[in-house]
Amino acid sequence: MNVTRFSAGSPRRRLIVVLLVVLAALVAVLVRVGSIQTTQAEELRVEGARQWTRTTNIPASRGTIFDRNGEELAMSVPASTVSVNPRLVDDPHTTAAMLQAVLGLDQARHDSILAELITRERGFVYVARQVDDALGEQIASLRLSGVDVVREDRRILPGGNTGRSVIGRTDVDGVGSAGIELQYDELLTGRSGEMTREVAPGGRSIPGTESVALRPVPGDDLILTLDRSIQFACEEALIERVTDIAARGGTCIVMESATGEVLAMASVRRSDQTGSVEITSGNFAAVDADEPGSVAKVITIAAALNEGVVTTDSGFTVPWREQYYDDLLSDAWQHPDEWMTVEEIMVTSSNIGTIKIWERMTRETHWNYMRSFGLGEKTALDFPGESAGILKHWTDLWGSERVTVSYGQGMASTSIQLAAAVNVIANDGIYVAPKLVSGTVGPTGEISESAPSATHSVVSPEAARDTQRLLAEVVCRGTAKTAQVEGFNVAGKTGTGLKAQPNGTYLDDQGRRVYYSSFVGFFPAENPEVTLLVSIDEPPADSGDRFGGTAAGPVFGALAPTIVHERGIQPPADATVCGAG
Amino acid sequence: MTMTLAERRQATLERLELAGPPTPTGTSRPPRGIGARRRTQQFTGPPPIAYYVIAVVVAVFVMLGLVMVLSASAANEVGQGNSPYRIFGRQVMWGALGFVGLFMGLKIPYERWRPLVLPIAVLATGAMLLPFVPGLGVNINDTRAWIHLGSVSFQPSEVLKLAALALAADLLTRRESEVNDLRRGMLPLMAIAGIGASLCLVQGDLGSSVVLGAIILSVGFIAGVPLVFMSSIVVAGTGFIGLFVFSSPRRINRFSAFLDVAGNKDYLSYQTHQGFLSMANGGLTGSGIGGSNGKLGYLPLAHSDFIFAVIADELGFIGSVAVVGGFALFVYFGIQVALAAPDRFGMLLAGGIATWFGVQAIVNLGGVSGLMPVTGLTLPFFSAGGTSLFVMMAASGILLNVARRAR
Repeated sequence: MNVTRFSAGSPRRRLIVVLLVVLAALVAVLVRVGSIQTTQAEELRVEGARQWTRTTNIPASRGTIFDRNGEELAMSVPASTVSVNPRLVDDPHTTAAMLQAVLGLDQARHDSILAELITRERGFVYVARQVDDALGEQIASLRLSGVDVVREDRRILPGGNTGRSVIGRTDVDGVGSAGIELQYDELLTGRSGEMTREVAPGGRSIPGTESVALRPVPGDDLILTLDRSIQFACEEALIERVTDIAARGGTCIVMESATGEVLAMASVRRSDQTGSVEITSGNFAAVDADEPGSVAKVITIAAALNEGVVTTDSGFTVPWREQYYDDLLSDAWQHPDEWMTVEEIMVTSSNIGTIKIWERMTRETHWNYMRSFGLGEKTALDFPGESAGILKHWTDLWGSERVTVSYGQGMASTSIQLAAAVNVIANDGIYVAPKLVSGTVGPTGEISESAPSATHSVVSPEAARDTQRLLAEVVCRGTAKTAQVEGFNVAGKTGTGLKAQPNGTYLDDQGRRVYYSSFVGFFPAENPEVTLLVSIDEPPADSGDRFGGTAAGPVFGALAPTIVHERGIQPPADATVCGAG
Repeated sequence: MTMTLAERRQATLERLELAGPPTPTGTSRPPRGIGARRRTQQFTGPPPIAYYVIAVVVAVFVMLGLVMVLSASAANEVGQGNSPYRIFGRQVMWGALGFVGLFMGLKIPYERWRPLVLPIAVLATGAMLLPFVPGLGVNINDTRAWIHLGSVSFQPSEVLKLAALALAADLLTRRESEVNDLRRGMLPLMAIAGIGASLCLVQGDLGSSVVLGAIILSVGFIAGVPLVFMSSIVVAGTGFIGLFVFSSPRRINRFSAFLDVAGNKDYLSYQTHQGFLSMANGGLTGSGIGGSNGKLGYLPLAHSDFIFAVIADELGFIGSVAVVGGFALFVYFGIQVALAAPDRFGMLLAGGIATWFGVQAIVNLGGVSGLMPVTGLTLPFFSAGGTSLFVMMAASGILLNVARRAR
C-alpha cells in the first residue's frame, strides 16, 4: 500500500526556524519585563509600597504629675501590650497555652483567647495590656506567629491612692478620663510621632525597615500645689473619722491662706460594695454641693461688720424662735429671750441672732457679698465636673428661704467654694482663687510657673480681723472646741447643714434628718497661714456626732500637727492660747 | 584529510591531556547526514565555542539559582518557624546530584543511551502513576505530580520529559527515511506525545503537558516531519487543550485572568500582579540580593514558579536581561550544537534539549510577565524544585556531550 507521501523537511532549516521562534519569544518576554521594570514601574512601585509599608503612631510618653515638693503623684512606666491576630496563628492550642504560661492568665481568659484563635473571626485580639516589659520581651522572644508585642505605657500612682480623687485617672488607652488627668490631658499627652516600617503579609514587621518619620514630643510634666504628706494625712484622718462615727463620707481641704494654693483636697466615701470607707475616684470636694449651714454665718456677720451696720459689740434681743413668713424658725437650743452681742451670736451660732444682724442689710447687699465670697459660681480650678453650687438670685428667693440664706440654708456650696470663702477672712478680706497647678515642666526641663491666683477685695482688713477674732472665740469657747490645737490659736466655724432629700423635704423616707456637718477654720488665728475645711457627709442622725463641731472638728485637731510640721508653722511669739496665758 | 570519529576523539582527548593511547570504540560508523556541506567539514581544533558558552551559562545559572532560591525562600521559611536554609539546603543537595548527572551526561557518549531509551521511557511512564498511590503521592498546588519518599520529594514528569524526548529522537533517527510516513513515522511520534501529555494532564499539570507535547513536536519538526502532519497535530493538540480548559469555568477564569491582570489582582491574577509589583520594585538596577519585599509572603511561590519576579526585583532589569539573555545564548548555542552534531540522534537530542529549555523558559517567563496564563512550570536552573534541577543538569550534560563531539 502506497499512501501519499509528503516530502520531509530539512532539519537544518527547521532548527534555524525553531531558534528564531524561541529567540523571538524571549525578546517579547524581555520587552514586556523591561516595560514593567521601567515605564510602568513608578505606578506599580507606589502600589507595592502602599501594600508593604505601614505607618504607626509612636505614642509620646505622658507627663508626670508631681506634688509641690517634686514627689510623683502619677507617672507612666514602660510596659508591653500583647495582642494576637488569630488568623495568623498556626497552632491555637500551643499558642494559647504558652501565652497563659508566660502571662499567668487565668483559665477563663485562656479559654476565651483559645476560642478566638480557633474561630478566627477577628483579626485583632488583646491578650494582655500593659504588662511588665520583661514579660513582653519574653513573649516576643518566643516568636509565636500571629502574636504581637508593642510598647504601651502604664500609668501608675506611686503614692498608692493618695490624691487619687484629684489626680483622676487615665483610661486603658492612656487618655485622661477624670480629674487632673482629664483636665490637663492635652498638655500631659504631648504629640505622638510617626514610624514607618515594612511588613510581611499579616503585619509582621521586617527587622531593620523601621524609620521614625516624626519624632514624638513627650507631654509636659505637671506640678500640683498639693503636698503629698498633707494629702495623705487628710485622707487617713477622714477615713478614720468617717469609719469611727459610721458616717457616709467626708471631704477635706487644706489651703495656703495667702496664695489660695490647695495643699490637700481629699474625698472619702463608704463603698457600696465593700462597706469600707475608701478614697473616692471622684473629687467630691469640688463636684458635690451641699448646704453650708452655719458656716455661712461667717459671711453674713463679716458683711454686716464691713457695711458698718454692726460692730462686734452690737447687741440684739434674741428669742429662741420667731415666725418668718410661713415658717417658725428657731435656734438649735431652747432659751429665753436673751440679749446677745454679735460675738455671742457667732460663738453660740444663733440662727435668730444671725437673722437680726442680717436684717440690718438689704437682701441685695447680702446677696452681693455672697457672690463676692465666691458662692454660686465655679472656682478658678474649673475642675472637671465641678459644681457651681446653688445660690439663687435674691429676687428669686421665696418664703422663709429669703431669711434662712443668712445662716446657710436654702443654698448649696461645694467644699472648695466654702474653704475659699472662709479664706477671705483668713486672708484679711481678700478673696484669692483656689489653685491646684503651680507649674508645668516642658520637654527640655524648663519650668513655667502658672500665674498667681486672681484676687479681689471682699471686706476691709478691719472687718476681716474682727471676724477672725470672733472665729477664734468660736473655737476657744463656742461650738468648735473640738478643733483646738495645742500651742495654737485656731479660728473657725462649724456648720450643720441639712441635706435636701429626693422627696423634696429635709426628712428622709424614715422621717430622719440627713446632716452635712462641717468645720472651716484657719490658724494661727493671729496670722493665718493655712485654711482648712473638714466636712462629714451624713453623720448618723441620732448620735451626738451629727454636728459640725462634734463630727468634723476632731479631724481638724488630728490634722493640725502634720500641717504644722510640714509647713513649718510657728505660733506667734506673744500668742496666748484662748486667753489662758 | 578524512578522520574517523574515533581518531578525532582521540585527538581531542590528547589535546585535553586526558587520554592515553587510542582505544577502540564501538562507534566508528560514519556520521549520518545533516547536509552534504557539513559532511565534508573537519573539526580538529578545540571544542567549539558552543561547548564553553553552554557550560558557562549552566554554571552561572545553577549558582545564581541557588543564591536566588536562598534569598527568595529564607524569609518565608523563618516566618513559618523553619530554618532559613531548609529549601536552600534541599536545592543544594539536588544541585550536587545534578552535577553528578551532568558529569555522567558529559562523560557517557550519548549514543550509548540509545538502547536504554525505551526502558527508561517505560519506567518514567510507570513512575508517572506513582503519585496516585495512596501514601506516596501528595497534592501540591492542585496537582498530583509529586511523590514523597521520606523527606525527599520527586516529580516524575520532569524525568518523563527527558525520556520522551530521547525516545522521540531515537525513533526518528531509526526511521529517518520514514518521517513522512504517516503510520511508521507520524503515529508513533503522536503516541509518544499523546501518552506523555495525557499523563501530565491526568496529574492536573497542564503546563508540563503543553511543554512535553511541544518538545516532542519540536523533535518531530526538526527531524523533518512534513508540515501538513505537524500543523494537523498542532491543531488537534490545541483543540484538545482548548477543550480541557473550556470544560471548566474555573479553568476558563484562571486561563483568561492574564488578559486583565490589574482587574483580577485580588484573586485570579493575584500572583501575577504581585509578581508585577516585585519586578517594578526592582527597576533598572534592582533592590539588591535579599531586598525584595514580595518574597516575604506577598508573592506566592516566590522561590519556585515565580522566582524570576524575585530575580528581577533584586537584580533589576539588568538581572532580567542577564537571565533572558542567558536562555537566548543557551538556545542559540544549543541549536548550533545540533547543527554541528556528528549524527542524526545527536542532532535531534541537542535540538530537542535546546528547544525544551527555551520553551519551558518562555512558558514560565511568559506567565510571570503576564504574556500567557500562569502554568506552574519551573524556570530551568532557577526555580526551587530538585527533580527539575537534576533533570535539567543531566540534560545539559548530554547537550555538552553532543557539543564536545561536534564535527
